Amino acid sequence: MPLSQPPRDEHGKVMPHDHEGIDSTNGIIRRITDQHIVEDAQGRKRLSSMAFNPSSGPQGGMSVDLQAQIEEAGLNCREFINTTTPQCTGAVRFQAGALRGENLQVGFSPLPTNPYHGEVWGNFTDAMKRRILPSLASWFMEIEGVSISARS
Amino acid sequence: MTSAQTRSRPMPIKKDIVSEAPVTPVGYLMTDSGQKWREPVIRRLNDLVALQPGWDGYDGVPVTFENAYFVIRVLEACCYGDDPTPQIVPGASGDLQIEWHLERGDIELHILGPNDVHAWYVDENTGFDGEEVPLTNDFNMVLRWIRNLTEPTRATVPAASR
Repeated sequence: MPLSQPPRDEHGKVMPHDHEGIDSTNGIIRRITDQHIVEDAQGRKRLSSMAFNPSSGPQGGMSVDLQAQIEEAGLNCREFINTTTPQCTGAVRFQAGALRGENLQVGFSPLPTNPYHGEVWGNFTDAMKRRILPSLASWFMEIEGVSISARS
Repeated sequence: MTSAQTRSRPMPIKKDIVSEAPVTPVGYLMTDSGQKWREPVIRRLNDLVALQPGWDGYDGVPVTFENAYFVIRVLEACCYGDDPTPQIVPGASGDLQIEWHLERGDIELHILGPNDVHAWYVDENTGFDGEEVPLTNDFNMVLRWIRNLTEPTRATVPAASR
C-alpha cells in the first residue's frame, strides 16, 4: 500500500515524523560510497562514523531508501539503488523497529529523483553514530574487505 | 556558470590563506616542506570540494571551500610536521570530518563550519565511547590528544584536562 504523504512545513519541506505506514520489520537501506571508507591503525578498512551522520540543519535527517516501498513497486531494491546512483559503492540495511528502539524516527520523504526516499531523525550522538547504528546495520550490498564498524 | 557548477569546479587550496578568524596557534610554526601531512591533505581537500552534487547517492553537496580552508588552519594549529596524515571524510552538507585511527586510540574532528567543531577522542583510558568536546578556535586539546597517541615515551596526558 502506498505510503500517505508526510507532514510538511509552510515551505513544503518534510518535517521530522515517524510514519505509521513503515512497518517495524521493514528494511531501511542506507547507501554507502567509497568516500565513507577509512582505514584503522592496522590498515583494515571500515566505515567512517560519517556514513551514519545526518544532514546539517534543524530538521536534517539521515537519508535512506525504503526497501518495502521499492519492492511493492515491483522493483529489485539492489538494482534500483545501483541504477539511480552509480556512485553508490554499497549499502547497509537496518530494520525500522531497531531504529525506533533507539528513539529514532523513521519517516517518508519522497523526492522528485527518488520516490522511495526516507529519512531517519533523532538525536545522533557520537555513541549513536560510532557504536549503536553500526551495530544495528548489516550489509545489504557488501563492499568487499570493508567492515561496518570498528568492532566487526 | 551555475552556483552548483562553480561549487563543484576543482580549485587548488591556497597555501598562504590568512583566516580572518584566527585559530590559536600552538606547537611549532612549520614551513610547508616540514609538514608531511600537508600535501596529501591538500590533495584530498581538492577532491572533496570538487565532489559532484549527489555524491552520496542522496542530496550530498561538495565540501565547502570555507570548511576546507579551516581544516588547514586546524591542522597547522595542532599537528607537528611529522605527525600522521589524517583521513578526511565528507559529510552530506558541505561539512567534513578529520580522522586519525592509531594504535593507541582515535581522534575525530567533525568540522560543521569554521570555528564550529565537534571533537571526539578515545584511548584505553576513556572507555569505548570516548570523550566529546565542542571546539571553536582553540585546538590545544587536540594537540595534546595527538601527542598522547603518537609519543610512546611520553606519560599520557589526561584527556579530560581543559
